[in-house]
Amino acid sequence: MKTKELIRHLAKDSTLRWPFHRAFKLALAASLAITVLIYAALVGPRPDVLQAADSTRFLFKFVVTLSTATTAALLVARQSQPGSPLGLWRLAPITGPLLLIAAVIAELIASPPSAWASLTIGSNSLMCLTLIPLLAAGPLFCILIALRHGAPTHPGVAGATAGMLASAIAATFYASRCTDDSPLFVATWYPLASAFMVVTGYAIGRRMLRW
Amino acid sequence: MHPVQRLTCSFQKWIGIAAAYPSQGPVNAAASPDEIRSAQAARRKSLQQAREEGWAAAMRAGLTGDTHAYGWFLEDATPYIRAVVRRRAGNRSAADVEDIVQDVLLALHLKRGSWNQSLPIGPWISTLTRNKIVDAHRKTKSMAHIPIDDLSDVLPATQEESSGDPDPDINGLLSRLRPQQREVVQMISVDGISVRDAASRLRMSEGAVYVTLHRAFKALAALYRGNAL
Repeated sequence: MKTKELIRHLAKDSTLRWPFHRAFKLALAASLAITVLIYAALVGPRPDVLQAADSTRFLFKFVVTLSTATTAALLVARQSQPGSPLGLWRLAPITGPLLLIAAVIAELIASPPSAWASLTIGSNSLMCLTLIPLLAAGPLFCILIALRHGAPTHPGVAGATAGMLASAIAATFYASRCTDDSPLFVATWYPLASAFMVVTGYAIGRRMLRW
Repeated sequence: MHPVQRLTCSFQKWIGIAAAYPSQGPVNAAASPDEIRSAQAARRKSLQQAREEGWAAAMRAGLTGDTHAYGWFLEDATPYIRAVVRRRAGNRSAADVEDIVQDVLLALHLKRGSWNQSLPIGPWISTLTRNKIVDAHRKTKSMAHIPIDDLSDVLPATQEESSGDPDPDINGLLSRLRPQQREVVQMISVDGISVRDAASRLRMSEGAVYVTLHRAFKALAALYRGNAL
Protein backbone atom coordinates (compact mmCIF):
# COMPACT_ATOMS: atom_id res chain seq x y z
CA MET A 1 0.00 0.00 0.00
CA LYS A 2 1.32 3.42 -0.92
CA THR A 3 1.99 5.79 1.93
CA LYS A 4 0.21 8.64 0.14
CA GLU A 5 -2.86 6.49 -0.26
CA LEU A 6 -2.78 5.49 3.38
CA ILE A 7 -2.62 9.15 4.41
CA ARG A 8 -5.50 10.03 2.12
CA HIS A 9 -7.67 7.40 3.76
CA LEU A 10 -6.58 8.15 7.29
CA ALA A 11 -7.29 11.84 6.78
CA LYS A 12 -10.96 11.12 6.19
CA ASP A 13 -11.52 10.32 9.87
CA SER A 14 -9.91 13.26 11.55
CA THR A 15 -12.47 13.88 14.29
CA LEU A 16 -12.25 12.11 17.57
CA ARG A 17 -15.00 11.61 20.11
CA TRP A 18 -12.88 10.44 22.97
CA PRO A 19 -9.56 12.22 23.24
CA PHE A 20 -7.63 10.89 26.19
CA HIS A 21 -8.36 13.72 28.62
CA ARG A 22 -12.09 13.35 28.12
CA ALA A 23 -12.04 9.56 28.43
CA PHE A 24 -9.91 9.83 31.56
CA LYS A 25 -12.22 12.32 33.26
CA LEU A 26 -15.20 10.14 32.48
CA ALA A 27 -13.36 7.10 33.85
CA LEU A 28 -12.60 8.92 37.10
CA ALA A 29 -16.24 9.95 37.45
CA ALA A 30 -17.40 6.40 36.69
CA SER A 31 -14.88 4.99 39.18
CA LEU A 32 -16.25 7.22 41.91
CA ALA A 33 -19.85 6.33 41.03
CA ILE A 34 -19.16 2.57 41.07
CA THR A 35 -17.23 2.76 44.33
CA VAL A 36 -19.95 4.86 45.99
CA LEU A 37 -22.58 2.35 44.90
CA ILE A 38 -20.74 -0.70 46.17
CA TYR A 39 -19.77 1.15 49.33
CA ALA A 40 -23.38 2.16 50.00
CA ALA A 41 -24.70 -1.30 49.25
CA LEU A 42 -22.14 -3.53 50.94
CA VAL A 43 -19.80 -1.55 53.17
CA GLY A 44 -21.10 1.62 54.79
CA PRO A 45 -19.28 3.80 57.32
CA ARG A 46 -18.26 2.59 60.75
CA PRO A 47 -20.87 3.18 63.46
CA ASP A 48 -18.84 5.80 65.33
CA VAL A 49 -17.79 7.73 62.24
CA LEU A 50 -18.85 11.10 63.69
CA GLN A 51 -16.76 10.73 66.83
CA ALA A 52 -13.89 9.36 64.76
CA ALA A 53 -13.92 12.51 62.64
CA ASP A 54 -12.31 14.29 65.58
CA SER A 55 -9.37 11.93 65.76
CA THR A 56 -6.15 12.91 64.03
CA ARG A 57 -5.28 9.26 63.34
CA PHE A 58 -8.61 8.72 61.56
CA LEU A 59 -8.29 11.87 59.46
CA PHE A 60 -4.67 11.13 58.63
CA LYS A 61 -5.75 8.00 56.76
CA PHE A 62 -7.50 10.25 54.26
CA VAL A 63 -4.46 12.45 53.88
CA VAL A 64 -2.51 9.36 52.80
CA THR A 65 -5.13 7.87 50.49
CA LEU A 66 -6.17 11.14 48.88
CA SER A 67 -2.61 12.31 48.25
CA THR A 68 -1.84 8.92 46.69
CA ALA A 69 -4.95 9.07 44.51
CA THR A 70 -4.22 12.60 43.31
CA THR A 71 -0.57 12.03 42.50
CA ALA A 72 -1.24 8.65 40.84
CA ALA A 73 -3.98 10.22 38.69
CA LEU A 74 -1.69 13.05 37.59
CA LEU A 75 1.15 10.64 36.85
CA VAL A 76 -0.91 8.14 34.88
CA ALA A 77 -2.36 10.96 32.75
CA ARG A 78 1.20 12.01 31.88
CA GLN A 79 2.26 8.43 31.19
CA SER A 80 -0.62 8.05 28.74
CA GLN A 81 0.12 11.18 26.77
CA PRO A 82 3.48 10.75 25.04
CA GLY A 83 5.61 13.84 24.99
CA SER A 84 4.61 14.92 28.49
CA PRO A 85 7.73 15.60 30.50
CA LEU A 86 7.72 13.10 33.37
CA GLY A 87 10.71 14.15 35.44
CA LEU A 88 9.96 14.14 39.14
CA TRP A 89 6.34 13.19 38.46
CA ARG A 90 7.56 9.61 38.34
CA LEU A 91 8.16 9.80 42.09
CA ALA A 92 4.99 11.72 42.93
CA PRO A 93 2.88 8.73 44.04
CA ILE A 94 5.30 7.97 46.87
CA THR A 95 4.16 11.17 48.63
CA GLY A 96 1.43 9.23 50.46
CA PRO A 97 3.71 6.37 51.55
CA LEU A 98 6.37 8.86 52.73
CA LEU A 99 3.79 10.69 54.87
CA LEU A 100 2.74 7.30 56.20
CA ILE A 101 6.30 6.40 57.16
CA ALA A 102 6.59 9.68 59.05
CA ALA A 103 3.33 8.88 60.85
CA VAL A 104 4.59 5.39 61.72
CA ILE A 105 7.68 6.91 63.34
CA ALA A 106 5.48 9.35 65.29
CA GLU A 107 3.26 6.48 66.40
CA LEU A 108 6.23 4.39 67.53
CA ILE A 109 7.34 7.33 69.68
CA ALA A 110 3.86 8.03 71.01
CA SER A 111 2.79 4.50 71.91
CA PRO A 112 4.39 2.01 74.34
CA PRO A 113 6.32 -0.85 72.70
CA SER A 114 3.97 -3.36 74.30
CA ALA A 115 1.09 -1.99 72.22
CA TRP A 116 2.91 -2.11 68.89
CA ALA A 117 1.96 -5.65 68.01
CA SER A 118 -1.73 -5.26 68.69
CA LEU A 119 -1.85 -1.90 66.92
CA THR A 120 -0.25 -3.45 63.86
CA ILE A 121 -2.42 -6.53 63.72
CA GLY A 122 -5.60 -4.62 64.55
CA SER A 123 -8.90 -6.37 64.13
CA ASN A 124 -9.80 -5.72 60.51
CA SER A 125 -6.81 -6.98 58.56
CA LEU A 126 -8.77 -9.59 56.64
CA MET A 127 -11.54 -7.16 55.82
CA CYS A 128 -8.93 -4.65 54.64
CA LEU A 129 -7.40 -7.23 52.33
CA THR A 130 -10.76 -8.16 50.81
CA LEU A 131 -12.61 -4.85 50.69
CA ILE A 132 -9.85 -2.75 49.11
CA PRO A 133 -9.44 -5.06 46.09
CA LEU A 134 -13.22 -5.47 45.87
CA LEU A 135 -13.80 -1.73 45.80
CA ALA A 136 -10.81 -1.16 43.51
CA ALA A 137 -11.78 -3.64 40.80
CA GLY A 138 -14.39 -1.38 39.16
CA PRO A 139 -12.18 1.73 39.14
CA LEU A 140 -9.23 -0.25 37.76
CA PHE A 141 -11.38 -1.50 34.92
CA CYS A 142 -12.68 2.00 34.07
CA ILE A 143 -9.23 3.57 34.25
CA LEU A 144 -7.62 0.91 32.06
CA ILE A 145 -10.32 1.42 29.43
CA ALA A 146 -9.60 5.15 29.49
CA LEU A 147 -5.85 4.51 29.16
CA ARG A 148 -6.53 2.68 25.92
CA HIS A 149 -7.52 6.09 24.56
CA GLY A 150 -4.06 7.28 25.45
CA ALA A 151 -0.75 5.84 24.28
CA PRO A 152 1.31 4.72 27.28
CA THR A 153 4.87 4.08 26.15
CA HIS A 154 5.33 1.57 28.98
CA PRO A 155 2.02 -0.29 29.11
CA GLY A 156 2.90 -2.34 32.18
CA VAL A 157 4.07 0.65 34.20
CA ALA A 158 0.99 2.68 33.26
CA GLY A 159 -1.18 -0.28 34.25
CA ALA A 160 0.60 -0.45 37.61
CA THR A 161 0.00 3.27 38.21
CA ALA A 162 -3.65 2.70 37.31
CA GLY A 163 -3.72 -0.08 39.94
CA MET A 164 -2.29 2.31 42.49
CA LEU A 165 -4.89 4.97 41.62
CA ALA A 166 -7.72 2.42 41.81
CA SER A 167 -6.61 1.11 45.18
CA ALA A 168 -6.16 4.64 46.53
CA ILE A 169 -9.76 5.44 45.54
CA ALA A 170 -10.92 2.20 47.18
CA ALA A 171 -8.81 2.80 50.29
CA THR A 172 -10.32 6.27 50.74
CA PHE A 173 -13.76 4.70 51.08
CA TYR A 174 -12.54 1.73 53.05
CA ALA A 175 -10.78 4.02 55.54
CA SER A 176 -14.15 5.37 56.68
CA ARG A 177 -15.26 1.85 57.46
CA CYS A 178 -12.16 0.54 59.17
CA THR A 179 -11.93 1.03 62.94
CA ASP A 180 -8.16 0.53 63.00
CA ASP A 181 -6.69 4.01 62.77
CA SER A 182 -3.13 3.44 63.92
CA PRO A 183 -0.53 4.27 61.26
CA LEU A 184 1.03 0.93 62.18
CA PHE A 185 -2.07 -0.86 60.92
CA VAL A 186 -2.45 1.38 57.87
CA ALA A 187 1.20 0.97 56.89
CA THR A 188 0.96 -2.81 57.10
CA TRP A 189 -2.30 -3.80 55.49
CA TYR A 190 -3.24 -1.01 53.10
CA PRO A 191 -0.03 -1.35 51.06
CA LEU A 192 -0.45 -5.11 50.97
CA ALA A 193 -3.95 -4.79 49.50
CA SER A 194 -2.75 -2.07 47.12
CA ALA A 195 0.25 -4.11 46.01
CA PHE A 196 -2.15 -6.77 44.82
CA MET A 197 -3.97 -4.19 42.67
CA VAL A 198 -0.70 -2.71 41.40
CA VAL A 199 0.51 -6.14 40.27
CA THR A 200 -2.87 -6.87 38.69
CA GLY A 201 -2.78 -3.52 36.91
CA TYR A 202 0.71 -4.23 35.66
CA ALA A 203 -0.23 -7.66 34.34
CA ILE A 204 -3.40 -6.47 32.60
CA GLY A 205 -1.81 -3.24 31.37
CA ARG A 206 1.03 -5.09 29.68
CA ARG A 207 -1.44 -6.87 27.44
CA MET A 208 -4.31 -4.43 27.22
CA LEU A 209 -2.46 -1.15 26.77
CA ARG A 210 -0.10 -2.14 23.98
CA TRP A 211 -0.52 -0.25 20.73
CA MET B 1 -13.76 27.24 6.62
CA HIS B 2 -11.13 24.64 5.98
CA PRO B 3 -9.07 26.33 3.25
CA VAL B 4 -8.70 29.29 5.57
CA GLN B 5 -7.53 27.15 8.45
CA ARG B 6 -5.21 25.32 6.19
CA LEU B 7 -3.82 28.60 5.04
CA THR B 8 -3.35 29.64 8.65
CA CYS B 9 -1.38 26.49 9.32
CA SER B 10 1.02 26.98 6.48
CA PHE B 11 1.10 30.67 7.20
CA GLN B 12 2.25 30.01 10.74
CA LYS B 13 4.85 27.67 9.42
CA TRP B 14 6.22 30.18 6.92
CA ILE B 15 6.27 33.02 9.39
CA GLY B 16 8.38 30.84 11.62
CA ILE B 17 10.67 29.93 8.76
CA ALA B 18 11.05 33.58 7.79
CA ALA B 19 11.88 34.42 11.39
CA ALA B 20 14.56 31.76 11.35
CA TYR B 21 16.34 33.65 8.59
CA PRO B 22 16.84 37.10 10.06
CA SER B 23 17.77 39.66 7.48
CA GLN B 24 21.35 40.27 8.41
CA GLY B 25 23.68 42.86 7.18
CA PRO B 26 26.88 41.73 5.49
CA VAL B 27 28.07 38.48 6.99
CA ASN B 28 30.37 39.06 9.88
CA ALA B 29 33.70 38.01 8.46
CA ALA B 30 35.16 37.50 11.90
CA ALA B 31 32.64 34.78 12.85
CA SER B 32 34.50 31.73 14.07
CA PRO B 33 33.52 28.25 12.84
CA ASP B 34 32.04 27.60 16.28
CA GLU B 35 29.88 30.67 16.08
CA ILE B 36 28.70 29.74 12.63
CA ARG B 37 27.94 26.23 13.76
CA SER B 38 25.93 27.36 16.74
CA ALA B 39 24.09 29.89 14.61
CA GLN B 40 23.21 27.12 12.17
CA ALA B 41 22.06 24.90 15.00
CA ALA B 42 19.88 27.68 16.38
CA ARG B 43 18.38 28.25 12.96
CA ARG B 44 17.65 24.56 12.49
CA LYS B 45 16.02 24.51 15.87
CA SER B 46 13.72 27.42 15.21
CA LEU B 47 12.86 26.01 11.77
CA GLN B 48 11.78 22.77 13.37
CA GLN B 49 9.86 24.69 15.99
CA ALA B 50 8.02 26.67 13.33
CA ARG B 51 7.19 23.48 11.49
CA GLU B 52 5.84 21.91 14.66
CA GLU B 53 3.67 24.93 15.40
CA GLY B 54 2.12 24.54 11.96
CA TRP B 55 1.54 20.84 12.59
CA ALA B 56 -0.02 21.53 15.98
CA ALA B 57 -2.41 24.09 14.50
CA ALA B 58 -3.37 21.66 11.72
CA MET B 59 -3.86 18.83 14.18
CA ARG B 60 -6.09 20.96 16.40
CA ALA B 61 -8.20 21.90 13.40
CA GLY B 62 -8.22 18.24 12.32
CA LEU B 63 -9.45 16.95 15.65
CA THR B 64 -12.43 19.25 15.42
CA GLY B 65 -13.37 18.06 11.96
CA ASP B 66 -11.10 19.74 9.42
CA THR B 67 -10.06 16.72 7.39
CA HIS B 68 -8.00 18.87 5.00
CA ALA B 69 -5.87 20.35 7.74
CA TYR B 70 -5.43 16.88 9.22
CA GLY B 71 -4.39 15.41 5.88
CA TRP B 72 -1.93 18.24 5.39
CA PHE B 73 -0.43 17.53 8.79
CA LEU B 74 0.04 13.82 8.05
CA GLU B 75 1.55 14.59 4.65
CA ASP B 76 3.81 17.30 5.91
CA ALA B 77 5.06 15.23 8.83
CA THR B 78 5.76 12.13 6.73
CA PRO B 79 9.14 13.19 5.29
CA TYR B 80 10.29 14.11 8.78
CA ILE B 81 9.18 10.73 10.16
CA ARG B 82 10.78 8.95 7.22
CA ALA B 83 14.07 10.74 7.87
CA VAL B 84 14.01 9.71 11.52
CA VAL B 85 13.18 6.10 10.68
CA ARG B 86 15.86 5.95 7.99
CA ARG B 87 18.49 7.33 10.34
CA ARG B 88 17.75 4.57 12.83
CA ALA B 89 17.06 1.87 10.27
CA GLY B 90 20.51 0.33 10.05
CA ASN B 91 20.67 -1.68 6.84
CA ARG B 92 16.98 -1.97 6.17
CA SER B 93 15.62 -1.82 2.66
CA ALA B 94 13.60 1.16 1.50
CA ALA B 95 10.47 -1.01 1.59
CA ASP B 96 11.08 -1.92 5.23
CA VAL B 97 11.62 1.73 6.09
CA GLU B 98 8.35 2.60 4.38
CA ASP B 99 6.59 -0.15 6.35
CA ILE B 100 7.75 1.41 9.59
CA VAL B 101 6.75 4.88 8.37
CA GLN B 102 3.26 3.56 7.68
CA ASP B 103 3.16 1.97 11.12
CA VAL B 104 4.06 5.32 12.62
CA LEU B 105 1.37 7.10 10.59
CA LEU B 106 -1.19 4.54 11.74
CA ALA B 107 -0.10 5.04 15.33
CA LEU B 108 -0.32 8.83 14.99
CA HIS B 109 -3.80 8.40 13.56
CA LEU B 110 -5.16 5.81 15.99
CA LYS B 111 -3.58 7.50 18.99
CA ARG B 112 -4.27 11.09 17.95
CA GLY B 113 -6.29 11.49 21.12
CA SER B 114 -3.17 10.93 23.20
CA TRP B 115 -1.60 14.25 22.23
CA ASN B 116 -1.99 16.76 25.03
CA GLN B 117 -2.99 19.85 23.08
CA SER B 118 -1.41 22.20 25.57
CA LEU B 119 2.03 20.70 24.90
CA PRO B 120 4.19 20.98 21.76
CA ILE B 121 3.42 18.30 19.20
CA GLY B 122 7.05 17.46 18.34
CA PRO B 123 7.88 15.32 21.37
CA TRP B 124 4.61 13.46 20.91
CA ILE B 125 5.46 12.57 17.31
CA SER B 126 9.01 11.60 18.26
CA THR B 127 7.86 9.33 21.07
CA LEU B 128 5.38 7.47 18.88
CA THR B 129 7.98 7.18 16.11
CA ARG B 130 10.62 5.86 18.49
CA ASN B 131 8.17 3.32 19.87
CA LYS B 132 7.35 1.97 16.43
CA ILE B 133 11.04 1.78 15.49
CA VAL B 134 11.74 -0.20 18.67
CA ASP B 135 8.81 -2.51 17.83
CA ALA B 136 10.24 -3.09 14.36
CA HIS B 137 13.70 -3.82 15.78
CA ARG B 138 12.20 -6.30 18.21
CA LYS B 139 10.32 -8.06 15.43
CA THR B 140 13.34 -8.41 13.19
CA LYS B 141 15.47 -9.59 16.07
CA SER B 142 13.13 -12.52 16.60
CA MET B 143 13.35 -13.41 12.91
CA ALA B 144 16.94 -12.49 12.33
CA HIS B 145 18.45 -15.92 12.81
CA ILE B 146 16.47 -17.70 10.11
CA PRO B 147 18.80 -18.27 7.19
CA ILE B 148 17.11 -17.59 3.89
CA ASP B 149 18.07 -21.04 2.51
CA ASP B 150 15.74 -22.65 5.00
CA LEU B 151 12.93 -20.59 3.64
CA SER B 152 13.46 -21.29 -0.03
CA ASP B 153 11.83 -24.72 0.27
CA VAL B 154 8.67 -23.41 1.78
CA LEU B 155 8.29 -20.12 -0.04
CA PRO B 156 6.26 -20.54 -3.20
CA ALA B 157 8.72 -20.68 -6.11
CA THR B 158 6.65 -18.73 -8.56
CA GLN B 159 3.02 -17.87 -8.68
CA GLU B 160 1.17 -20.80 -10.25
CA GLU B 161 -1.40 -19.76 -12.81
CA SER B 162 -4.29 -18.61 -10.70
CA SER B 163 -7.31 -20.84 -10.89
CA GLY B 164 -10.72 -19.58 -9.81
CA ASP B 165 -10.44 -20.78 -6.24
CA PRO B 166 -8.07 -19.04 -3.94
CA ASP B 167 -5.35 -21.25 -2.58
CA PRO B 168 -6.79 -23.48 0.16
CA ASP B 169 -3.86 -22.42 2.32
CA ILE B 170 -5.00 -18.83 2.01
CA ASN B 171 -8.46 -19.79 3.20
CA GLY B 172 -6.88 -21.53 6.15
CA LEU B 173 -4.90 -18.41 7.01
CA LEU B 174 -7.90 -16.17 6.52
CA SER B 175 -9.91 -18.23 8.96
CA ARG B 176 -7.35 -17.45 11.62
CA LEU B 177 -7.79 -13.69 11.35
CA ARG B 178 -10.09 -11.78 13.64
CA PRO B 179 -13.68 -11.82 12.33
CA GLN B 180 -13.68 -8.17 11.34
CA GLN B 181 -10.30 -8.39 9.62
CA ARG B 182 -11.39 -11.52 7.78
CA GLU B 183 -14.55 -9.80 6.58
CA VAL B 184 -12.62 -6.82 5.27
CA VAL B 185 -10.00 -8.94 3.48
CA GLN B 186 -12.69 -11.18 2.05
CA MET B 187 -14.62 -8.21 0.68
CA ILE B 188 -11.77 -6.17 -0.68
CA SER B 189 -9.04 -8.60 -1.66
CA VAL B 190 -11.05 -11.69 -2.54
CA ASP B 191 -14.40 -10.36 -3.75
CA GLY B 192 -12.94 -7.16 -5.15
CA ILE B 193 -15.42 -4.75 -3.57
CA SER B 194 -14.29 -1.13 -3.37
CA VAL B 195 -13.21 0.31 -0.05
CA ARG B 196 -16.11 2.74 -0.13
CA ASP B 197 -18.71 0.00 -0.65
CA ALA B 198 -17.11 -2.22 1.93
CA ALA B 199 -17.18 0.68 4.38
CA SER B 200 -20.87 1.32 3.87
CA ARG B 201 -21.71 -2.38 4.10
CA LEU B 202 -19.75 -2.82 7.31
CA ARG B 203 -20.97 0.53 8.65
CA MET B 204 -17.40 1.62 9.19
CA SER B 205 -15.64 4.75 8.00
CA GLU B 206 -13.36 4.30 5.00
CA GLY B 207 -10.39 5.16 7.13
CA ALA B 208 -11.29 2.43 9.58
CA VAL B 209 -11.60 -0.09 6.72
CA TYR B 210 -8.13 0.88 5.57
CA VAL B 211 -6.71 0.52 9.04
CA THR B 212 -8.33 -2.90 9.41
CA LEU B 213 -7.07 -4.00 6.01
CA HIS B 214 -3.58 -2.79 6.79
CA ARG B 215 -3.55 -4.70 10.05
CA ALA B 216 -5.03 -7.80 8.44
CA PHE B 217 -2.21 -7.84 5.88
CA LYS B 218 0.34 -7.59 8.66
CA ALA B 219 -1.37 -10.39 10.57
CA LEU B 220 -1.52 -12.52 7.43
CA ALA B 221 2.16 -11.97 6.78
CA ALA B 222 2.94 -13.01 10.36
CA LEU B 223 0.68 -16.08 10.10
CA TYR B 224 2.28 -17.01 6.80
CA ARG B 225 5.74 -16.81 8.32
CA GLY B 226 4.52 -18.81 11.29
CA ASN B 227 3.07 -21.48 9.01
CA ALA B 228 6.17 -21.65 6.90
CA LEU B 229 8.50 -22.24 9.80
